[in-house]
Amino acid sequence: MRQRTNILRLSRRHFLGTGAALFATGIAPRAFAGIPAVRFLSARGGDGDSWFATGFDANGAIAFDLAIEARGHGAARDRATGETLLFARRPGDFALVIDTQAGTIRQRIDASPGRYFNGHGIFSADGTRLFTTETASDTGDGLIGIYDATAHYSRIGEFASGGLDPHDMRRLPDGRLVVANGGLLTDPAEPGIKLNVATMTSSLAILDPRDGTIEHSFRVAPSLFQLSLRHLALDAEGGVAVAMQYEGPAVDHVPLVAYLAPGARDLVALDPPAPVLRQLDQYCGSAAVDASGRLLAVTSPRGGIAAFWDLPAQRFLGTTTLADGCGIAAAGISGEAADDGAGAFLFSSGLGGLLRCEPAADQATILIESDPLAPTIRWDNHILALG
Amino acid sequence: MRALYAATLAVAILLPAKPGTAADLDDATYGALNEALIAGHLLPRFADLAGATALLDATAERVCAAPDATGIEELRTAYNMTGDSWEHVAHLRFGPAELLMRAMRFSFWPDPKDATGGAVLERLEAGDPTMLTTDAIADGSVAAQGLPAFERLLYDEGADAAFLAGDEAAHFRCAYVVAIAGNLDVMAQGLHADWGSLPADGVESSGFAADLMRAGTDPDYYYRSQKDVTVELFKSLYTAVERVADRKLARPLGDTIETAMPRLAEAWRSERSIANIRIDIDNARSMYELAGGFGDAVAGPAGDAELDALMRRAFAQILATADSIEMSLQAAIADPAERLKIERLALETKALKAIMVQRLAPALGIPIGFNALDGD
Repeated sequence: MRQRTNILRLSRRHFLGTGAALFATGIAPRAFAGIPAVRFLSARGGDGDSWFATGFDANGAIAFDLAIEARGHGAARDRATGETLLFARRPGDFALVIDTQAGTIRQRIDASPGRYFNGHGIFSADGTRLFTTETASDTGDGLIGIYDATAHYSRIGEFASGGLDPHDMRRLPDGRLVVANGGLLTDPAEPGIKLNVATMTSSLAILDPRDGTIEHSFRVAPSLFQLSLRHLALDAEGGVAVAMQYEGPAVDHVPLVAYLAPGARDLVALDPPAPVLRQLDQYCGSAAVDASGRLLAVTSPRGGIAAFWDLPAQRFLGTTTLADGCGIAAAGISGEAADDGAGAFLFSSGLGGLLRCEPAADQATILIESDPLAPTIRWDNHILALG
Repeated sequence: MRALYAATLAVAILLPAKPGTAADLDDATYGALNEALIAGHLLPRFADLAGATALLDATAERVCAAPDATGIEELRTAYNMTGDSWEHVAHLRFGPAELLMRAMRFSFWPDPKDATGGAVLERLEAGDPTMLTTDAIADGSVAAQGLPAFERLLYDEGADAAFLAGDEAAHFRCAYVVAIAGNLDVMAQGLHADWGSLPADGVESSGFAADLMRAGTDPDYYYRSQKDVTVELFKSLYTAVERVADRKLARPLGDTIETAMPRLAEAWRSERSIANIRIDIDNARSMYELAGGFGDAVAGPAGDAELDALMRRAFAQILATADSIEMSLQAAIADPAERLKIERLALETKALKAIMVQRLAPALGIPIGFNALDGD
């Protein structure tokens, strides 16, 4: 079923010659009859307090559904080997190594004593190290945990993340790590309660993964101190898009999406038009860049919308709607938009729906209808594209 | 009988919701609901709070001019009145409560790292009067300026002796009480004034209440429709129950009687935990059962009489459970018999929370999912 989008029609020229070469390898694996070919991984809730790590195909058909002990969050994948982890939601006790081909949990990694996982992590470029965002339970200090991916993820060290509450983390093309320090002080005893909203400071830190040297730290302006930088997406050039949440009054007019262009000296706000900024409702859930590396999508589950930008042009494109929409993944390049060299996105909803959107073609297709009355599948934030 | 009810309530959430259709109510219906809640629930409560803090402020000034044992008791009475009045608005955390971080400054809780203890001690040890000016209190640590800090000063072990010692430290302690009382009063008067009033016969109205009623007529206003306002009010209803289920009961209860953590109860020093929980549940019940409130919208325009009956039964049952508790929360969780009642209360409030998300929100056409309510 089609649904309306509110996306400015992009000119063809806008995309020609930008990413077409990238797509030669983007051929979707063909599914065997009857067995959905797993393309995406996401955490989800079921009835009551049941939680799952779920693999599904390009149409949302479930390939595997693994019961897990608590609510999951983000995932990491080494693109070369296909090694995949799903992290528990903060304050998380565990991370799970998931065999996405067999649909099994291969290993449970316990949080180190006195540390908890914050729900995100990333592999080193060579796949031998796993870096995770963590918090020290007693002091609240933000840490990057280092694990040996070649030795059953034994924890081999840690370094400071450069702020409180490190959340999402990505690897820049040159191998450095970029970390969103959310700035919030929480306590594992009171999950979800923010203890320092009156004094918080959030930052984007760029670290050397070899020794933890903090090479840059971009802090929000003091007047915007209640902004929390939380989720990140990288474009093809290594530019960093930042999706933020604001802990201050609902009526304040503050930036919620920002961009650090490659080599730039500071973050710039990617402000959408005022009505759209209002719809983001001070709360961006997720960010992702499409397969062309140009288009950014950001969700707001509170506002029930996804918004799109052209990153290199730093231009707002438009929105589409999805109630309680939060998870996003790049969903390959196909359909009408492929002619323009622009990719598609998959969005998931806590009310069960899955939506595929090609912003460049001004098209959105509902793959799975949400069931607001009794969602038996409640998609949690974050979708990992496995392809 | 009660145990049977508890089981019924719990089962209601385990079963898939009955097939139905999500309501599509018109904006006038939402507007009428909002007006009923603002006039009947919100405005009187903020007026009460302003009255309570004015009394607290006057009592603190008077008692601390010449502290004696009677005066300290009067302070405790005034503190409890403000505590009751605050708890009656503690779920209404949008609009004026959000401005100037008032809600957080009025009552900073939960406080697992004991920021309150540290902030109060820091001031008592410094004994520096410049830390007690109106600005220094209001702009200082949120943990040092609200009801929990006030409670420490009044109820900490040895508080009476500390107030009555007649020395410099006693004087400072009482001056700190006066400073917090004044700060609470400034915030409560601000909340009351900012909410303002609803339009009445020929009387001009202003303030946040009147602004909310204009939602839907001004495309530039933050709330674009009356439905937007109803969503905000629904979140308040949900918050009232959620705080009890997730914060006030589960944590101090622990998994077993051996692992109970009585000091994680809210306001345990003044033994207000159960009183606050009763008020929280009653806040939710008021928003639901008030004439023209959520319940009438469910039974009327939304046409789900069965859900309405379930909600009313749930409130009655939960309040009965709360009323049956005969000890303070910190004592009850460590008492084998009373603990069962607390456990039942925790189960029942959790079930009600689930009913509100899974059935009430869709019945009212409110699109609210778990990412929006509890994301990361």
